Amino acid sequence: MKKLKELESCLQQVDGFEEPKILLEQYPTSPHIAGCMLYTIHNTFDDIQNKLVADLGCGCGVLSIGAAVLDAGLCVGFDIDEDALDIFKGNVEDFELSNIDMVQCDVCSIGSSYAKKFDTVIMNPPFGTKHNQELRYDLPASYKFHKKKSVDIQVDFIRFTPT
Amino acid sequence: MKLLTHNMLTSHVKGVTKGYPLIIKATEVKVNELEFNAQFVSRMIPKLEWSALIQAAEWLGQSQDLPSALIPDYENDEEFLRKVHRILLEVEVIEGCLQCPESGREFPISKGVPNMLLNEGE
Repeated sequence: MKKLKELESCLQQVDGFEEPKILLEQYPTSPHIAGCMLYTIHNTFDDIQNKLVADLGCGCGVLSIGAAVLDAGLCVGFDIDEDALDIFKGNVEDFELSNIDMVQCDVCSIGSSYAKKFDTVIMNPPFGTKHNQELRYDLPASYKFHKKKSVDIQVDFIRFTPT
Repeated sequence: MKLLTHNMLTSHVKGVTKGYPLIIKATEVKVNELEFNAQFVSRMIPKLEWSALIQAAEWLGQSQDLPSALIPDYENDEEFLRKVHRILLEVEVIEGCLQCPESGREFPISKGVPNMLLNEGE
């Protein structure tokens, strides 16, 4: 998959939340944003292909699907919500991907012990507007996205690397 | 749940100091093909707790002839890497549970997804 457009149109096939849960601050990551982000991570930083990738707060899995399509060695999605993971599983079957795995857990309490084993961590998580939790991770190359809710949707793409 | 994922999971039950490795009790296991990539497998090996992987393979009756300790120069042994590839990425636990070795608390695995959520107070 060489072109961003191909990746985006591929990601448009990913099913999103049927009934987003407000308390979990669920919202879908648009195929455009997901595509741009993954494309950059892949082409500029070479952090997807053949890498072990974690998707924290994966929801219905659009980022994981994208990473898998870009030939991640394995992408593991983590989310607290069973309904979202069911949709994610449906997506994995539709796309016939075998380099994806998923775990149901509370990413705030799993600690950074296993995140450290991953080459790359991607996330577009809830920002704590409901529970004001801080997400702190001591991680390898990690990508965090903040979507500012305004008329012009801007996304900050932040890349952390270990020092 | 693939064994590469299992190798990283620990129990976070309150008070538990060594919740690793989680004991696998599987009622349904599948083997799904995944394209072999020697470079990826080779890079994953140093990240693994090797003995936990061997134990996991044994619990699933899949230990075949994996060595109990890592062989030197494994990066160049394609046969070995293919065996590791299979056990890490192709063998999947679909139904069963993971048991905390210290507290005994069981975490169910359903449709291939382990549920590590704890109840309040655990």
